[in-house]
Amino acid sequence: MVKYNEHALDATFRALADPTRRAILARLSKGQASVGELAEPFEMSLPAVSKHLKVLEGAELITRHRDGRVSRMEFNPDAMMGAVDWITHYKKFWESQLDKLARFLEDTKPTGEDNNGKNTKG
Amino acid sequence: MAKTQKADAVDQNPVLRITRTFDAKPERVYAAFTNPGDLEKWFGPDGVNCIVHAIDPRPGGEYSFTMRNDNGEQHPLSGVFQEVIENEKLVYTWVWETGTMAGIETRVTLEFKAVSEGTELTLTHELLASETAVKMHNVGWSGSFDCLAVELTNQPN
Repeated sequence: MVKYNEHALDATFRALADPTRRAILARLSKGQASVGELAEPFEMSLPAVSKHLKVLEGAELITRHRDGRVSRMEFNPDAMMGAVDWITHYKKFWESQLDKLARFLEDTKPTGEDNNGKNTKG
Repeated sequence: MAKTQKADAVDQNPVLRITRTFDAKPERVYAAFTNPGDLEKWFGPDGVNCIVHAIDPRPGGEYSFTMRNDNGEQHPLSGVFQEVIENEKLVYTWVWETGTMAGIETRVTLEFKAVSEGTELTLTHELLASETAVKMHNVGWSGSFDCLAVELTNQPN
């Protein structure tokens, strides 16, 4: 069960609020990659990419593995679940609530209520 | 049931928005959210009772509920009304006091629009976890977040 930890949610959202970092994650969701491989499609310097990777690491969205002298990055989808779950949680909650509201309104419908401003007799 | 659902989608911002049309006048739909007697009759998931301790629908007014399930578990929920336009709009904060979402401030906006079928209700629930979350709303997210979320769910563990 993912904890809706405010600090973690914060870090996740901050990390995701950048198109380059989202693109890096999208790339890593397909498999591990080295810093060099990640930098390639972005026309960015390695230090610039490293900065983004640090933010992603801080949010625990990626993990770094040392492979000799090369660092390989791996996507850690669990860290994103807090953010995704937040929306899913409330989506389910409100969907069922609005179903109940519709039933309540149906059950308590005043006789002869005319919502359309038209005659609904017959 | 004379109910249509126009759209329900996760926005590009981490915001949940649902629009539904109800076969009832805006006055009745609005009352269902603000009248304690009405609210207790429908609010709360199945198997959960909602007890309304207070509800003061005016700007700065507070509300406080307890959701109690069949096992006797209690989950208090409270918030403050930020904007109130009778039969048209309600904006309030929403904070659970216990559980996994405890202390995380969120905001609910309800817009009641009279339409020929009755009332079109637009519900927006957004995260106000912190300054960062609010700032992030302004940054705007690209659609890739959604793609990423889909990819994640498809990923083998």
